Amino acid sequence: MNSKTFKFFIVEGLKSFFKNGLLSAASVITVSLSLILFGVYVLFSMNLNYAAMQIETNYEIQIFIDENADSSLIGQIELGLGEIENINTITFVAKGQALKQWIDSMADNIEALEGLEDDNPLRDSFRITFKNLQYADETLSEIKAIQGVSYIKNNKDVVDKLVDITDKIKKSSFYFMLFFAVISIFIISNSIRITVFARRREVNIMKFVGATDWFIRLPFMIEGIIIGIVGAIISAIIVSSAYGYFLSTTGVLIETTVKLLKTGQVTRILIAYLAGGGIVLGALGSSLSLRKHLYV
Amino acid sequence: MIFFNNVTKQYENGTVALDNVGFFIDKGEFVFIVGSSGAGKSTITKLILCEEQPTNGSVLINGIDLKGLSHREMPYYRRQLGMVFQDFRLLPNKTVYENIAFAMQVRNATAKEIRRAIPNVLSMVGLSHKSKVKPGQLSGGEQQRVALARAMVNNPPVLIADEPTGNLDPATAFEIIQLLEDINKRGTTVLTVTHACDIVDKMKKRVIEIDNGKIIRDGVGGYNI
Ligand SMILES: Nc1ncnc2c1ncn2[C@@H]1O[C@H](COP(=O)(O)OP(=O)(O)O)[C@@H](O)[C@H]1O
Ligand SMILES: [Mg+2]
Repeated sequence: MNSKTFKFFIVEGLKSFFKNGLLSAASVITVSLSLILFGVYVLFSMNLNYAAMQIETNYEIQIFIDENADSSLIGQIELGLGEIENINTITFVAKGQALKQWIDSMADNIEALEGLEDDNPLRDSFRITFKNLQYADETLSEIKAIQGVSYIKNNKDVVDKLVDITDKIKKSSFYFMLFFAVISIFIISNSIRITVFARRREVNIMKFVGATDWFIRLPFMIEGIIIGIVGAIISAIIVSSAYGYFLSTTGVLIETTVKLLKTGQVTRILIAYLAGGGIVLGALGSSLSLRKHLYV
Repeated sequence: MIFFNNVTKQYENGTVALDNVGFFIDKGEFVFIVGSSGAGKSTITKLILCEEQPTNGSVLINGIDLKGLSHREMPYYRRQLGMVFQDFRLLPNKTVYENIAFAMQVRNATAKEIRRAIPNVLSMVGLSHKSKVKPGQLSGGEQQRVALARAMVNNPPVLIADEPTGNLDPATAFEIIQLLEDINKRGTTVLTVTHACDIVDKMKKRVIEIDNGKIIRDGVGGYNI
């Protein structure tokens, strides 16, 4: 196929997109709706991954050492920890230092704490972070096996719960998105069907002058893809500006705990996903109606 | 060239449109198919165009059984045929030139080939001066000439005309039939379905007469002999 023929297809597709006015608009709206949901899903997943990364690198557990451990045992524990593959950083916290921090945080009731320096109830500990939180359980049992480790303080349950909830939100938004995708494919296919019907004369002529299936179908496919792309543009504008608004409001609260991705960090990927999604919806919607109504 | 080998066509609703029809049309022949309305004439053209398949028997074109054509091969087969219909089937929003060019674009002709071929066919049908006009501004006879130009622009070996004069007054109809004869004289096999008895009488060509799905006459002569 030469470039002139291709231009001809694009022009035909555009013409019937505008001629179909109301139905094209309806198709564009549903495509936009499902792509908006898709965009929300993409942003949500991206931020979730980003947050998981932050939790992974910042997630800290504290390993307490036997009360009567001497400095050589502490040294051996540190060596043992150093050999564990999944441990990222190791920081030793001497009990004196820990107590001082604790007292500082309780500055108001300073009198009640007097004398604790001489009889420190705290223990020496290590704070460690993981390379990969996924293998935390294995790593924890490796740590427990090191001689001189008394107990481990971690809030893995809380993290697990958080991961579980976000996972559920992710899944349900996915099904919502799928639902709207099906609806938009259905509406696009109806819009294209009307075009096929409106142009049945032309299709009939193409058929008896010997046009191949692809030659007949391509203008209709292109019309579907145009619907998809227009929907993608609209949804990209809506989603990215809504995300900007979200960052400046609710996002500020969330960012006290984890950082969120900035608008600039997401737009390119978002646009790529939405354009891809729009093209897929348009192509699927039109080929659905073409298969049924354009057997030539 | 065109061979109907004991063809029976029964439509899905049970109508038997053709009943054991057999004929052979040689390369370069000019043949009329006549018969009353509903006799089965258009069914013959639909079978040649491969729009319908025979229920029994076979249609062979150039020795090739159309039953054996795959869906993919169909468009390439149809490029061997020029088709003309009673209702012209022109695109109303395209000019005469564009209507003819369309038949070439469909076959991926280059712009150069299109520019070269269209003036030739337009002068053949005597419409060189109307190339920029839209079909709505043409008379019926002129529209049918455009359709003929479109059918001939790719130089098909066979031209099938299904009641090409059905919507035309007798004088115009005769001009169109004469044009078909010209095309035939250049070597194209022409198969014309028609109702126009006076023209058939005048032309003294081979006539295949169908009645109720059966061939009741096949020979050279007038409409009724
Ligand atoms: N697609 C179809 N389905 C059912 N019956 C049909 C169809 N096309 C034609 N027929 C019937 O077949 C018979 C022959 O039709 P046709 O070949 O069109 O006749 P003609 O062209 O001679 O007027 C008629 O009775 C017509 O009603
Ligand atoms: Mg007929």
